[in-house]
Amino acid sequence: MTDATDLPIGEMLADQLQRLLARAVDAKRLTAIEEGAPITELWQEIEALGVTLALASNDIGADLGWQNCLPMLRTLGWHGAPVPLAESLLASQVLAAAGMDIPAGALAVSHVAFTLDGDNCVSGSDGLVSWLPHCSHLVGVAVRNKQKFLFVVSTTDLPSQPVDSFARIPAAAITLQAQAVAQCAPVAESTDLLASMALLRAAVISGILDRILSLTIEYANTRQQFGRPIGKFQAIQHHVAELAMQSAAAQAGVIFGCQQMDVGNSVSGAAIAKVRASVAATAAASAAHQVFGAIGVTEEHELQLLTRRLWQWRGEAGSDHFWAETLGREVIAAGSHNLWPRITDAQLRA
Amino acid sequence: MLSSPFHFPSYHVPPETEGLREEVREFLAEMSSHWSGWDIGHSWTGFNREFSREVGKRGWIGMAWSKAYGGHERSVVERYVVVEEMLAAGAPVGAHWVADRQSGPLILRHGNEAQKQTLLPRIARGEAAFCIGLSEPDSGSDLASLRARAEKVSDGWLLNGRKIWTTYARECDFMIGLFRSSGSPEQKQKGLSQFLIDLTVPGIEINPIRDLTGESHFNEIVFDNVLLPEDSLVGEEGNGWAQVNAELAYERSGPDRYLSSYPLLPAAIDALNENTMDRLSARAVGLAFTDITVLREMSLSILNQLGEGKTPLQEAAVTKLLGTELEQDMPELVRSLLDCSPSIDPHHTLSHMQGYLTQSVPSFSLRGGTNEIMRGIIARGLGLR
Repeated sequence: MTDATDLPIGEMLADQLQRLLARAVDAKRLTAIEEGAPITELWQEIEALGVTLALASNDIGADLGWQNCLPMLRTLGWHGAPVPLAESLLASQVLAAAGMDIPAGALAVSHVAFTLDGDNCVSGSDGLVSWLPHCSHLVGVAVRNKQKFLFVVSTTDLPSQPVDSFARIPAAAITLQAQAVAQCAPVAESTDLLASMALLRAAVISGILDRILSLTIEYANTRQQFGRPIGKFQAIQHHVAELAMQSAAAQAGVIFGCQQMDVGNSVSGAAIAKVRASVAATAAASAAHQVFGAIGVTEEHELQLLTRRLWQWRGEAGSDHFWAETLGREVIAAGSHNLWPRITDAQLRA
Repeated sequence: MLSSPFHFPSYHVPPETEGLREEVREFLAEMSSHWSGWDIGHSWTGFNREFSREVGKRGWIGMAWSKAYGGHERSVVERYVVVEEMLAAGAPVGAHWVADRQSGPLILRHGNEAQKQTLLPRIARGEAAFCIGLSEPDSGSDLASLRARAEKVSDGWLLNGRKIWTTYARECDFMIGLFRSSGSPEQKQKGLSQFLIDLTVPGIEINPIRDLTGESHFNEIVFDNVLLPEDSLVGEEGNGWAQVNAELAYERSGPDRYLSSYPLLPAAIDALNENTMDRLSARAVGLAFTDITVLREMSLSILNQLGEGKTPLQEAAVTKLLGTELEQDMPELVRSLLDCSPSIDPHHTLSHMQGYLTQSVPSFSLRGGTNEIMRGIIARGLGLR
C-alpha cells in the first residue's frame, strides 16, 4: 500500500475517507440508512477528518479546488455515498465565498431558483432535496431585483414532505412561503448551484462505476456455469468491456469537468461531465445487471444498492437529457464554424 | 481495494501551440475550396500526393523527428494539433498518414542508419507513401497465425505469401510487412519479423479489391520469390510482434479514432439552422459534442502518458472502442436529425459526404483491431480469462 504521505493532498484526503468508510459502511449500513437510520455518528466521524471544508476558501476551509476533491468524491461514490458530503462540500464553498457563517451539521442544497422579498424571506419550491431530513440547514440561491442571494434556512421548521426516490436516501419536497432565513448575502451572478451539484453527482457516479466494475470482474471470475467461470465466455467479456469503457469515459468526463470548474468555466464543464457520467450510468447499470443475472436484482445483493444510486444521480441536478439539450442548443446556435474551435478551446487555461 | 483500472489525468494543449493551429487552419481554408463532400468523407483515407507535398513543405510531416533525418524537432503535441486540424477539416492526408503515424516512427526507433537517412527525409517531404502488410487471406483478427514467409538466403531475404486488406498498396512506394522468418504458424507470435519492402521490386503483384463504395482502396498483394536485400529487416529478427504491439497505444488513441466522420457534424448543424430545431435534435447534437470533447480529453491524456514513458494500452483500447463507435454512429445521427434522402447528390456537400460515410463506416470498427478483439483485450486486461 502506498504511504499516504507520498500522495498529493486530494489523494490523501480520499485515502483517509476510504479507510473510514471501508470500516463504517457496508450493505447493511446502507440499507439501514435507506430505512431512516440516523447518520449522526458517521457524519461526526467524517467532520472529524476535516474533509467537509475541503472546497471552502482559504481562511475558513482548505480551498483545495475541484480537481483535488475529485478523488474524495469518487471514494464517496465507491461506498454508495452514505452521507451528504457532496452537498456539504458545496454548501461550505459557497457560504465561505459569500462571507457567511457555515452552520454546524450536515447541509442540504437546493438548486432551484427561489425568490427573496424585502424582509429577507424566501419563497419557492423544490420537489426533491436529497438528505434534507438528516441536515441541520438548507442552502439555496434566491433572487431579489435580479440580484442573486445565497440563503440559509434551518430545517427545523421547514415545510416539507417526504419523497420516495430510486436511491431511497431520505429526501423531501419543500415549499417555502415567505420563510425567514437564518442568513443571506448577495452573491455573484455566476453562482450556479445547479451546475455545481451536477458535477458533484457526476463525480459520485464515476466512483460508483469503479466499484461496480470491480464487483463485476470478481463475479465473472468466480461464478461458474457450464463448468467454467462465466468470465471465460466472450458474451460476458463484452459486457464487462462495455462497463469498463463507460467507467473510463465517466472518469475522463468528470476530470474534465473539475478542471473546467477550477478555471472558472463552470457550466459547460459541469454539463459535459454530467452528460457523460449519466450516459455511462445507464449503460453500466444495464451491463452489470446482465452479468450478475437474477442474484443482482435481489434485495440482499449489494449491486442493487449501487445501481439504484446510479439511476438516482443520473437524474438529479439536471439529467443527461437536460444538459445535452442545453449544450446542443448552444452549439447549434453558435453555428457550424464555431463547433471545432469550441472543442479545441474547451480546455480553458487558468 | 478502491481503484479504477484506468487513468486519464488531464493534459492541456499548451497555449503556445495556438499560432501553429491558426497557420494550419489558414492553410486548410485555402486548400479545401475544391474538396467535394465525397472527398471530405474520406478523411485520412483520402490519398492526394500533391496535398501531402504541400503539407511536407510546411514542415508538418515528421514533426517530432530529428532534423538530421529531415524532421522538425517539434513536440508530439504540436503534431497532434496539426493532425486534429487536418482531420476536423476532412483533409486528404492519406498519402503521408501511415508513414507519419507509424512507419516513420518505426524506422526511427528500429531502422538501421541507411533506412533512416534515405527514407525519413522523403517521408517528411511528403514524397514517400507507406502501407502496412499485416492481414492475410487466412489471418484476419487472428493475426498471429499469419503464414507469409521470409526465408534467409545468402544474398538477403526471400519473401513468399499473400497480404490482404492493404490500403493504397498500388499507390504507395513502400510497405512495412510482417512475415514469418522462423517456425510455423502454430507458433503464433514467435518468429515474426518486420520488413521494409520497396513495392517496385520484381515478384510483387498487387491486385485491387473494389469495395462497396465503388472504389478500390484495399488490395491483395502476392509475393512470389521476392528477393529483398539483407538490410530490409526492420528491428530484430523474431521481434516483429513486440515491435508491432509497441506502436498500438499510439495507433489506437489518436484523433483518427474518433474524428473520421467528424465533418458531418458541422454540416448537419448548418442544415439544422435552416430549419426549426427541436428538443431531441438539440439533445443529440449536445450528446455528440460531449462525446467528442471527452474522447479528445482521453486521447490527449494518453498522448501525455506516452510522452512520460508509460504504456497506457488499456486506456488506448477503451478510447479506440468508444471513438470508433462514435464515428461509426455519426451518419446515423445525421440521418436521425435530417431524415436524409438515400440519393447521393454531388452538388450538395452534406449529401455527398453522407453518401460516402454511410457506406464506409462499417470498416471503422474493423481497422486497427475489430471491436470484438478490442473488447477481448480489455476484458483480459481487467483480469478475465
